Amino acid sequence: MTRREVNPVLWGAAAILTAAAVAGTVHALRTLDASGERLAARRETAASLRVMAGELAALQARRRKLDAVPGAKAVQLDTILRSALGGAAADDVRESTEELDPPWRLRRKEVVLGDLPLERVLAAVRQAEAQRPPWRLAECRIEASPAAPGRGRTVLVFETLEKRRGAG
Amino acid sequence: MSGSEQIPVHRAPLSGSGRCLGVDTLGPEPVLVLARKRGAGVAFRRVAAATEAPAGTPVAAALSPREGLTRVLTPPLRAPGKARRVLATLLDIDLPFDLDECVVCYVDQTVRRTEPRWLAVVGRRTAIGARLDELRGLGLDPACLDHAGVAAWTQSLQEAPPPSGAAAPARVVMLLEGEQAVVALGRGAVLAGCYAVREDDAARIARLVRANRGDGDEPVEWVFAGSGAADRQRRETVRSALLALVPGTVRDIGEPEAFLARALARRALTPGPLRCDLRQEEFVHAAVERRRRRGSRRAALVCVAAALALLAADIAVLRIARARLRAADRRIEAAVDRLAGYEVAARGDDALTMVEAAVAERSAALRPFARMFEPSLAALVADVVETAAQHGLRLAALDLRNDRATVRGSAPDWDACEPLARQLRSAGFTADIAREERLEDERVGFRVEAETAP
Repeated sequence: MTRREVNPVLWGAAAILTAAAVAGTVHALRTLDASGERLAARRETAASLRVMAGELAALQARRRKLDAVPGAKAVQLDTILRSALGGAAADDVRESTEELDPPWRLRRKEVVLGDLPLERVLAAVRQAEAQRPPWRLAECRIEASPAAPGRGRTVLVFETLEKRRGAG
Repeated sequence: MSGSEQIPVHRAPLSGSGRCLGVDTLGPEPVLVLARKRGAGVAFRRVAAATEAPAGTPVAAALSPREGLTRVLTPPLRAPGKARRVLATLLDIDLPFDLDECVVCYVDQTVRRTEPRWLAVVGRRTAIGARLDELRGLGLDPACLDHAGVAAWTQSLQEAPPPSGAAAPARVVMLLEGEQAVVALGRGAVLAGCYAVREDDAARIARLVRANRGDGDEPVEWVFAGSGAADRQRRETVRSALLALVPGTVRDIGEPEAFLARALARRALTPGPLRCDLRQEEFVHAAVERRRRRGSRRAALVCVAAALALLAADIAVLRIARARLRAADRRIEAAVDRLAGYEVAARGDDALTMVEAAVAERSAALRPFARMFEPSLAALVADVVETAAQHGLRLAALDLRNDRATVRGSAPDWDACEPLARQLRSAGFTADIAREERLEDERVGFRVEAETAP
C-alpha cells in the first residue's frame, strides 16, 4: 500500500464505520424505546405480583395467628341455642365438614328456627359468637312473620374452625 | 467606513507550522526574515541566508503585481457559499486571458453582509512556474506563494493600523522595490486593488489614487515601505512628487526594507484577513501536501475512533438494556414461582395466568381463616334491623351472607329505604335499590340487592 492510497482507505473505513455507528445508534435508540416499553410492562406485572403476594401474605399471617392458638373443640351449638332461646329447639339442623390444610377443618351448621322474636334470635347468635372457639355467623336468612312484627322464621349458618384430634 | 470595521479572517496557509522564513526577492537583494509564533503574535529576526534558519523551516515568497493581478468581485448573492459558485464566471469575464491558464485564490472581504465583496488573486501558471524556478535558482523552495500587493496591504494594517472609530481615510501602500513599485490601494481594511507602476510615474500613481479615493479632496494616508523606502533620498524624491499631486499624511514604518518579508512570514503563519497561497493544484509544495495528508489521515483516524466509540456505546447501551430486561424477567419468574408455590414452566402471560389461578386457589383455601378476623355478620344483621326500625321500614325478608345481601320490605315513603342501602355500602357492599309501585296501604315496596365490591 502506498502513502497515496492510505487516505482513501482510511476515509473509506471511516465512512463505513461512521455509517455502521449511525445505523447502530438508530438501532440502539429503537431498541431502547421498545425495551423501555417492555420494561414498563414488566414493572406493571411485578407490581400486580407484589399486590397478590401482599394479599396472600395477609391471609397466611391470619392463618399463622390461628395456628398459634391452642387447639380446642367447639362447644355444642345446639346446647348454646337451646339455652339462649329459652329451651326452644331448632326445627332442623344440618352439619357439614370441610377438611382444610392440616390440621384444620371447617365445621358448618345450618340451623332452621321457627317463628321466634328476632331479638332473641340475635341474642342467641351473639352468645354463639362469644364462645372460644367461636361459632361465627356465615349466613342469615330471615322471613318476617306477616302477622307479628319483630318475629320471623330464621335460617342461620354458623361455621367454626377446629384442629383435628391429636394436633396442637 | 470606519477603521474598526472587520472583514472575514482566513486560515493561515502554513497554520500547522510554528516558524517560517519570509523571503522578499522583489528588490535588488533578497531580504530574509525568520518568524516564530509567540502565542497569538509573531517574533521576527532578520537573517542573512536561508541556512541560518533551522532545517525544515518552510519558506514564504511572493509574486509581484506584475506577475499576478487582483480583481475585486461583487457577486449578486449574499450567502458566501452561493457567492463563491459564481465568482469564477464573474472573473472570467473580467480577465484578459483564459481562466484555465491561471491559479486563483478567492478571498472574502465583505464588510457588510448586504454588500458582498470578494478579492480574486490571480497568478498565471507560466508566471508561477517561472517564479518558482527563479526561487529554486536561489536555493529556495517556498511552501507558500503569496501576492506582494495583498501582503503589503495587510501588513500595513498590522504595523500602521487605520484610526479606530473615525471614518477610515483612503490608504496607499507604496512598496518601493526594484524597477516597479507595488501600489496597494484601499480604505479601512478593504483592499481595492494592487498595481505595478514605475515609482517615478507619479502622475499615473496619482490617477490610480484619485480613482480609488472617489470625489473630493480628502487627504489620503501614505505608507512607504520596501528597500527603496530605506534609502532616504529615494524615499523623499518619490514622496514629495506624490504628495504634491495627492496631499495626505505619511505613516512611518520601521525597518521598511524587511516589510514585505515580515508580511509574507506573518501571513503564512497566522490567520487574518485576505490570506492567500497561489501554490495550488500542480504547484502544491510536497511538504504542504504531506502535511495535508497527515491532517487528512488524522481527521480520518479521529472519525474512525469516534465511530468505534459510538459503536461501543451502542453495544454497551444494548447490553445494559438487555441485562435490565433479563433481571426484571428473573425477578418476575422468582415471584411467580414463589406465589404459585411450585416452579412454573410457562413464561410471560401464560405464567401470569397460572400464578393468578394458583394464588386464587391458595387464597380460597385461606379464606376461612381470614373470615375469623373479619367483622361479625351478626353485627350487620342487628344494624340492619335497627335501621329498619328507625326509619319505619317493614322488613319482609332478609338474606345476609359474606359476599351478598338481599333485603326486601316496604317503606313509608320513596326515600325511606336509602339509609338501609347506605348502611350496606358502608359495610363494603355495592347496593342497588329497586322500588315497586305503591301498595294498597300507600307504602313503597323496595328490594335492596347488594354484593361485595370486586
